[in-house]
Parts: sequence; C-alpha cells; structure tokens
Amino acid sequence: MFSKGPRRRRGVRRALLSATVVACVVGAATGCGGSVSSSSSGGSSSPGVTDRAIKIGGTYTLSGPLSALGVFGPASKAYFDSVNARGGVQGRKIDFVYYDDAGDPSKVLQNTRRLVEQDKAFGIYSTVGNTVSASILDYVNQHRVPDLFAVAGGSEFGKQSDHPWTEPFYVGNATEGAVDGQFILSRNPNAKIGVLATNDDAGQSYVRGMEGVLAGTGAKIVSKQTYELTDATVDSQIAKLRASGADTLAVIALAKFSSLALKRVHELGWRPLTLLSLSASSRDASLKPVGFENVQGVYSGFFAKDPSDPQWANDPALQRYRDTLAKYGRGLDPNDAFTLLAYMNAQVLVATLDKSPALTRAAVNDAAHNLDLPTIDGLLPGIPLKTGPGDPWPIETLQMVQFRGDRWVPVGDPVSYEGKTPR
Amino acid sequence: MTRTARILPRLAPPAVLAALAAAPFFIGQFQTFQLATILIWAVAILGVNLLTGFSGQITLASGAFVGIGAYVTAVLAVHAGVDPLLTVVAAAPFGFACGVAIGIPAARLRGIQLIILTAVVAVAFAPVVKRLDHLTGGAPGLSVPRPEAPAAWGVSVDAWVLWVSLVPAAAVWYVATQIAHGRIGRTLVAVKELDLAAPALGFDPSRYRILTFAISSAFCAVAGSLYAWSYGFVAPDAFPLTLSITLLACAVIGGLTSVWGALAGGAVLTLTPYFLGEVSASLTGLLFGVALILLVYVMPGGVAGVLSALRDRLGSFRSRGGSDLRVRGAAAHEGGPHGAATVDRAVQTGGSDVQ
Repeated sequence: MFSKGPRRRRGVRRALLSATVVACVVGAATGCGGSVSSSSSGGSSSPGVTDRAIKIGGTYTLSGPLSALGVFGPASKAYFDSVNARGGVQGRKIDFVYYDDAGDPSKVLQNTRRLVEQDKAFGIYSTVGNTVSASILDYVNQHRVPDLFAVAGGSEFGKQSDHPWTEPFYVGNATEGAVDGQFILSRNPNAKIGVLATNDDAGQSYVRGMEGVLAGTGAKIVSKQTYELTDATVDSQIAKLRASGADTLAVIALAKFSSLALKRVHELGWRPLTLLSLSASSRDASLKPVGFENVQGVYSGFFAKDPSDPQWANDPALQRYRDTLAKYGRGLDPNDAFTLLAYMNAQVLVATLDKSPALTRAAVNDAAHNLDLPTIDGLLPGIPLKTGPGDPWPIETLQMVQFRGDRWVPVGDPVSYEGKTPR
Repeated sequence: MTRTARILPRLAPPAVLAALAAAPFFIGQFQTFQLATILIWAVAILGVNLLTGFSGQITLASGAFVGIGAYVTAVLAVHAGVDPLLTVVAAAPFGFACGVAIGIPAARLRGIQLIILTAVVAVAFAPVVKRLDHLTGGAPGLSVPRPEAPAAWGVSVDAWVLWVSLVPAAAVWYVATQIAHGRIGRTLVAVKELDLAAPALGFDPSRYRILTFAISSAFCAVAGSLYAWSYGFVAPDAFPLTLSITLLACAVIGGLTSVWGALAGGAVLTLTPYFLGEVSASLTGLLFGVALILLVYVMPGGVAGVLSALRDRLGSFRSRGGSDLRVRGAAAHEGGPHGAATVDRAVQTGGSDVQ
C-alpha cells in the first residue's frame, strides 16, 4: 500500500521520535535509587529537621477561580519570616516551601507527594478548603505525615480516629450551623429557614449541625439550595428560597457568592432574618460590594476579628499583625480576612512547634492535638483555642455579631460548643 | 541504513515499553508516580488526537470522560469490591457508550457548536457527580484502593501501578496505531478534509464521527482508570473544563496526528508545571499558560512535527534525497482517498505520522 520511500522515512522518523521520547522520559526522572522495593519508604521519624532549619510544605490555590484563597501561602510566609528574624523556633529557621495547585485535587496530591517525598518536608501545613484538604487525607495519614491546621470545617476533619495525623484550624461547619440554629430559635421559635450553601462537606455539615438544634422545635429548614463555583449568579437559588416561604436565610458561601446572594435578596425587596457563615461575612469582600446600607442587620458568628473593621484600628494585636505584614508581606492586603486567618494559623503552627517536646513527626502531631492557646493575635476576646484527645476542633465557640452602620457589633455572649462540635 | 530503517520502527514500541517498565529500578518513588501520571495523560491525549487530529472534531469533554473512567473504577472498587485492575475492563466500554450518547448529537455539529456542546458536558460533570453523592461520595470525593502487588513480591505500590498501567496504555496505543495507519484512519482524514464529497465516495461521515467520538471517549475513560490507580482518590473538581483545554493544548503541542506525540504531550502536561513550580509558586499557572502558547506558536506541528522536520533535514544531508513533497504525494494517492488537502497540510505542518 505504501511505497518504499515513505515507509523507510517513516521508520527512521519513528525510531528518532521514540528514542527522543525515551531520552526525555529518562532525563525527566532525575532521581536516583530505585523505587521498586516497597521497603524503601519509612526511614527517619523526623525528615525535614536539621540543626538549623525545619522544612514545612504547603500547597495553595494561587491561580484559577479560587485564587483569593491563595493568600494563605504568602501571608503565612510573612509570619514565618518574622519568626525567623527573631531566631526561629527551637533554634531552627522555618523553611516554608509551597506550590500552586490551582484548586485542582490532583495537583494538591501531586504537590503533597512532591513536598513529602522529594523536598523531604517535615509536614504539610494549612491546606485551604474542604475539597483541597480532603484530597490528601489518605496520603498523609497512610504515610504518617503531620497534616497540620487544614482550613476546613467539614465534619470529615473532626474524625480524629480516621485521620489521626490531620488537625484542622477552623470552626466546624456543624458548630456554625448549631450556633446559628440556636440564635434563630431565640429570635423566632417557628422560623422557616432557607439555606444557600456550597455543594460540599462544608454546606452539608452546617445543615446537619443546624438540624440537630432544630429537632423537636417549631422551627425547620424549608428549603436547601446549593451553588457551584462555576455559577455566574445565585439568582435562581434565591428565588427558590424566597418562593419556599422562608422567613430566615442562612448563607454558607465564599465572599463572592455571599455578595451575589445579598445583592439579589436586596433587589427582590426580600427582608428575611439573614445569617452569614464566617466565610461569607467579610466586611470588605462580601458586604461592601452590596453597599453597607443594603445589608444592615445581617448576623454572623465570629471567632476572629474582622481586620477591615475600623473598631480594631487601634487594637494592639492587629497592630502587630499590620506591622509584620508591612515588613515581611509586601503586597498583601491587611484588610483581607483570609490574610489574618493565615497569620493566625501560622502563629498556631509556630506555637505548636515551640511547645513540642521534640521535633519528631509524632511529637509535633501530638502537640497539635493537645493545644491550649488563648493568646493568638487576631482571636476575638472570650474565644478559647483548645484541642484535646478525641477533640481536634481548635475553635468551638462563636461570638454572634450584627452588622450595624459600617461594622460588625457583638450581640450577646460567646456561644460555646467546647468539646461538643456536632458530628 | 535500509535494514536499520526497517527494523527500528518495529523495535521502537517494545523499546519504549521496556524503558518505562525498567524506570522504577532507577528512579525514586515520586518520579515513578510522575511517570505514571505522564502515561495517564498520554492515553487521554491519544483520545484527543484521534478525535481532533484525525476526525477534525474539537472536543472540550475529554477531561470529563477521564473523570467518567476514574469514577467507574472508583465506584466499582469501593461499592462493589471489584479489584481496581479489573475495573478498566468496564471503564472502556462505559466510556465508549457515553461517547456514543454524546457523539450522536455531536456528529451533527461543527466548529463552535460542537465546542459548546462538549464544553457543556465538561461543565456539567462536577455538579452531576456531586448530585449522585450516594454513589460518588459527593464533593469530598472517594478514596480508591490502589492496586498492590502480592505482598510476598515486596514491590512498592508506585512501581506496581506504573507496570500495570503499561498494559492498558499499550493496548490503547495499539488500537490507536491500527486506526491511524489503517482504513479507519484514512477514512477519517477523508471525512475531515472532504466532508461533502465523502458520501459520494460511499462513506457516511456521521457514522464515522460517532465511532471516533466513542473510541476517543473510551481512551479517555481508560486514562481515568489509570488516574484512579495512580492517585488512589477521585474528586469531581479534579476533572474541570480547564483539564480538557489543557489536554487539547498538549495534544497540539505533542503533534495532533502523532501517536508518539501523545507521550510528549503527556510529559509537557505533567512536567511543565513541575519545573515552573521551581521558578515561582505564585506564577506557575500564568507561566504554564504562556508556555503552552509559546510552544504552540514555535511548533505548530507539535513535538512530532519538529522531530520529523529535523529528521528531514538530517536526511537531506545524508541521502541523495528526492523531493519529499513528491514522495508524500504519491504515497497519499496510493494510500486511498486522501485529497490534495491532506498532502498540503502534511507539508505545511512539517509532516504528520499518517500518510
């Protein structure tokens, strides 16, 4: 069918191509030593620790639609740099290495394997979000790598017996749901509640927490709507919630979607009792785009100060935070609530390393699961930060706040679920 | 020279296979995992090549089909307790069937409409998987048991996964070459280049388009099974629209009609972000995009095109050469219903692997 000429040419070409591909593949694999033997894993109990440094790995969503969450990388680094300038922790500098995962679970896992196996990181620090954090649960726990302070509130992260090497740094979404449920009952015992939530563990845990509190009362959830990150608006969800006859609205969302929801609620002239999840309540990111005058009276539950709130302008703790960012975090926005959360998270890691009796993976993991840190800069007064055996949730107390004028104002006393985060 | 030229192409596939199989003896676990990842994307890109390179249909659903295959493996392994290795046998026909379902409307569409239809499939994938959470585990995803060698052999999971992945990958490669160099491949090119004339020559173009779409989807689904083996975890957000776009870009970079180009494309997809991570974590995404654009710009014929152009140049120094164009043209006409358009194109892009 083919003439001889082209076949010969094709042969040479194919041979050349294949030789090149083999060369590329072999060249790409720059590591040494084989990986066939299954016993080659394991080794020292504290990789990543030398006399001078401790290597901590991270993977962040630095690009893609959720890149606002990427600030956790550079903001944490700013704090670590400030600690290093003061001499480090246990006489060692923190060597913080992180990569971009674009919010893609495959890349999160790739980055984690790279950090642990290639870069020999001591542990993984602060994965952000439920989906991202869930994608490495198996890996880090099978390999006994400390997976410290995942910013994730889904119930999965409270299952310490399933994931003994994972420790969250957030309030459980179920606690948020329970606290909100309690608050709603105090305002309207027969509330008809509409929930707009992310279609993930966070949203589901929130609803479970709230349903637990509402059981046996006159109040109930009448409609649950979810959104996808790819949605352009949440107009249809808000319309359905309103049509369900709800008189109370709970929004569990990231900043952009809570803005979209609040804007739509305002446009429709709907006036439900509105509660925003922590992630949905940033003054600058969520409320400002809607217009402060249009979001008066909405509620939220806080454990951290809102750095964009003028009432904390002269707060010494936030002053230290701003000073650190000014010196080590050039380009970071101190008013971004995520930046402060990352800064708090970095403080918790440093305190954990500092308190750990030895810098081994097991000892540090143990220290992370036995924390009692009331003095973290950024924490609201009256909110404890504690973990203990069987209770990995560091934050289980929330202060209800209401938006009045241009700021969040505390309402009542902090509501505590210490040791009782709903499962 | 003549004898070598005849033997080499026969030796090349087993040589590559042997090199890949031997690699874990020399490289670390993470690199072995990377190699398996290259293989996953190479298999998916073979599917894209078949559809875009041969049939001329542009799809943005390839990532979703990889996801479908990954979930077939995950669901069967987790809920039905099927050995993950066996699930690939189900993933391929399932992908094929889904491909037929989408291929039927897709065969009637061209250009932008087809792109939109397949983009809808890609965008709908994650929400649908999340809705079926009793089966799929919803947004947090599902942990899949990774294939493991019998304990007595003492083989690491990563090496084992790479070795077992080579089997379906080689099968896909074989089917792809058979199609590329056989009657179907030539017919597909004819259908692509001579859309209106094809029926006059006795082909039903839409039947061939549906078939191609289905085979391409089956390839992607096989890649999905390999993905589940390698990652041991599937989540709906791991197969976004951008994955399909990246697969398409890497297929072009590898060389759209080259079977070997798929391997190069897989390597680009896996290793470029890896090396860019060394340059700057915060700019990895941006630089990867720029790198893809540059690669397409400097190598419109892909890696395969550049290599065959290099080969042509080397060849013209050594041999008394005849005009390449003439030889190609003759081959094309002998080879069946290729039109002049194919020959022109082959010359323009520095040659493709299929004449």
